[in-house]
Amino acid sequence: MSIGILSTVIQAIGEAQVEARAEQHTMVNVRPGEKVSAMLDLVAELSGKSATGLVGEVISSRLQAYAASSFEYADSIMDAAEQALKQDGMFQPGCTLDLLAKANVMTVQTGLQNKRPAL
Amino acid sequence: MSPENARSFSVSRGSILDGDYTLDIHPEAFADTSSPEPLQRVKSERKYNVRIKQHDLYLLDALAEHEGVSRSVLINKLLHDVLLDELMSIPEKDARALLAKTADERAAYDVLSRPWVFDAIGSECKHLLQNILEFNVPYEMMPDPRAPEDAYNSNTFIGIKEKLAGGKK
Repeated sequence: MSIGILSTVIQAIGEAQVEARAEQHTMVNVRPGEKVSAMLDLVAELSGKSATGLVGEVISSRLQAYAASSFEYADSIMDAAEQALKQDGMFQPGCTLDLLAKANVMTVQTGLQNKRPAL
Repeated sequence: MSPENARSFSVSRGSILDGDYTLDIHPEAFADTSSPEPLQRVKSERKYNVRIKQHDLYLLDALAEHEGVSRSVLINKLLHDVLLDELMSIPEKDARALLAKTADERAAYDVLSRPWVFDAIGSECKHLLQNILEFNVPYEMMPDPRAPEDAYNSNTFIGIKEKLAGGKK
């Protein structure tokens, strides 16, 4: 087996893992109350999207803004990041923790990076 | 079923006041001004099954714990903020008012959750809303009788109105 074939296989396995992690969702039952429900349904009607789809779309970016709004949330961010990394070794692409890292609110030094000798 | 007008019963407490009692109600003495609004609080039945990324749930739970609230309360707060931002990003007052009014009409608010300001100056609020919806300004104008419908409204208002009307068909 050539190195090219093996690297392709490994790359495919890695991509499949990233994809699988990205797909890890949990169904959460949300009861927003009359005021929010009414506006949510109205926006969904005007946009032609489902209300549940809209919520799923906006929750990560809004959660990012909320978490980054005050330093008092730093511990909560760290707790969640630790939990996510302990479980998966990386953040789900597009999740709030991933967005926070991309926005430089926190930096993640991966286990692999820590093992590499500095060049 | 109308309430009973009279009732008889016995009292035996071992006192001098023991004996047969009769109560008579006088229907004509009632003011009949009871509120038509039901006292029972409206409970929202609308619920949404939302797909949330697993790692977002970790952060939601950590933040909710920090705030001392449930995950659900935090999600509702985030949703409210999103919708409020969306609403306030509309520059045209009449379009914003139309959306707010339509949402309010669809929501089953009860008297106990309505803001006090609407109890206190509800008619003035309605007047202000009417002016914005009709003239796109908070004050009353003298409309030109020859002006077509929506002559004073923004294009956004007209577009939303048409879309909402189309949705009802």
